[in-house]
Amino acid sequence: MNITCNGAMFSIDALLAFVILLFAVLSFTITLSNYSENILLSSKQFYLEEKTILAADSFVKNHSSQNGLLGSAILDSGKKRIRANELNTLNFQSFNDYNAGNFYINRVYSENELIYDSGLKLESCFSVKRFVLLDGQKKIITYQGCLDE
Amino acid sequence: MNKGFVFSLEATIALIFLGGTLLYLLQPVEFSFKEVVVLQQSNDLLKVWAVQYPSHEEALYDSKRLFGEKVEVEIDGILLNESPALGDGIVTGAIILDDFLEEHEFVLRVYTS
Repeated sequence: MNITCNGAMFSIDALLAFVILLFAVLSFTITLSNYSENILLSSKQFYLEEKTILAADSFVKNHSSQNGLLGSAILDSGKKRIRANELNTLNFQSFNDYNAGNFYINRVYSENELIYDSGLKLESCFSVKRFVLLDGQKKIITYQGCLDE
Repeated sequence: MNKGFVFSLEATIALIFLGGTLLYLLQPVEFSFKEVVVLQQSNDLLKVWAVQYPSHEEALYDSKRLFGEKVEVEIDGILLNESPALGDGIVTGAIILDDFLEEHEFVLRVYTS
């Protein structure tokens, strides 16, 4: 568009340029919107995975008399140390529901046997497998954490 | 032409190019805890083997239960299996004493990609 002292002169060239520019702005806005949505989803997934991995690690490496879900490793009181990756089913008796904010420990399996179920029906979940000695037997523990959205 | 401006196709192309460059810079950053999980699982295997010393067959069986075909096990420099997987891998190793207190070097190579 040429603006002169006599008025504006509208050309096909300017019209074409204007339309292209509008489409570019539109696509930029849509992409930006998708990008921010992806960041939001990624941060939720990051939070879920981080919490589940930490809780599962605590389960196999710590001993908690209050809540076995946070530590079921054998406590060797004679040597005053925790025997990491060696679990005892007796510690499973102290399982109590656990949540941190909207993060819940949902289920724990020993091989295919369900050893803990929160009873919640949550959809956004993440599982971690850990290799342990459970009562002296080699087992794969599957530890599942979920987000209540 | 002295009073006014010209909005040209060249300027439009330049603006689109600028927008495209900005979009490229805004690509979401991929994250993954895969490596951390693999490292933890490899350490689990080595810890359990340190308590219950395994035969070569047991070591291979335990590893494959966790990692499937993506793992290679090496004991005292002898490669027990070859993985068909290729690409980036995580290597974990430990010296483990057997029932006669003899040292054995265990190496686990897990391919993650």
